[in-house]
Amino acid sequence: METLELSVHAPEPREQFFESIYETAFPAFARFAAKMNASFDDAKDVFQDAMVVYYEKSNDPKFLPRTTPEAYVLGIARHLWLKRFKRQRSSVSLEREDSEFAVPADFFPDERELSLLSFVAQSGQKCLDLLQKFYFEKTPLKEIAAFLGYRTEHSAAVQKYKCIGKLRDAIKANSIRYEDFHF
Amino acid sequence: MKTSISDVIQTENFISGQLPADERVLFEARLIVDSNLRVNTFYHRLVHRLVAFSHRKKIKRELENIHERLFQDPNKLHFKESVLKHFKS
Repeated sequence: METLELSVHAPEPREQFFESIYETAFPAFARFAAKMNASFDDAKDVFQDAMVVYYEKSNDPKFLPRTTPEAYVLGIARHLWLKRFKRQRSSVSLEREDSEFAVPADFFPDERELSLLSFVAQSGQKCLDLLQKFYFEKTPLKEIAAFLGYRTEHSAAVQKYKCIGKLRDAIKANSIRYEDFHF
Repeated sequence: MKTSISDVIQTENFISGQLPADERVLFEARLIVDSNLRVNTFYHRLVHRLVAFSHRKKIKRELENIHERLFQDPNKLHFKESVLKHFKS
């Protein structure tokens, strides 16, 4: 799929790309999930998480899928399902549990991280936009500067570091103890 | 204590593996003896994780919008039915 690299980055083409996969792959996953006695809402939630995993994997230059995006998303969704609903594992083949469809171990936040998420959002949407675009949408700094209104690419780069420092200090000051994260 | 930007840049380069070998060794040595740097590096990594989680939420919101659109579109009735038929009792 030659346009994949471009299609998943900017919001508008990304949306078209997502929609195309959604339309093809969700009915197939719904069939699998319903057989596993899933509710419609659970099926939707797992499928959307799988789309997010796929999106992140596809942003990695080393990602070389051996199948179509739809089949890949289905593989991830099935893997996620097995992970989330372990009780039903006995009736399902586990042949691909450790496969390329594996979901990163730290994909979901733990409770302490979850409680910090809204705090991070409140502490500056512009910073969050900048960091998300740079790290997770792989948007070039030049485009970020134009989009967020920084005068130059250099200003955006400096702002990126300032944002990390600001968030780092804010989280520290929010009385989350370093020790809390160590068992 | 407020964070200096050069401290952030160095920590960022360490985390992303972009420090030259000699500077990396030095940074690792400082991590052992400098508890403040150790704590800052911990929170720096945490910022990355929290930004990742918030971005995942953003992408899921986009997907939810797509889901709603597909299910509401009268031209996509076949799609809607091809999903819902599996959940009918």
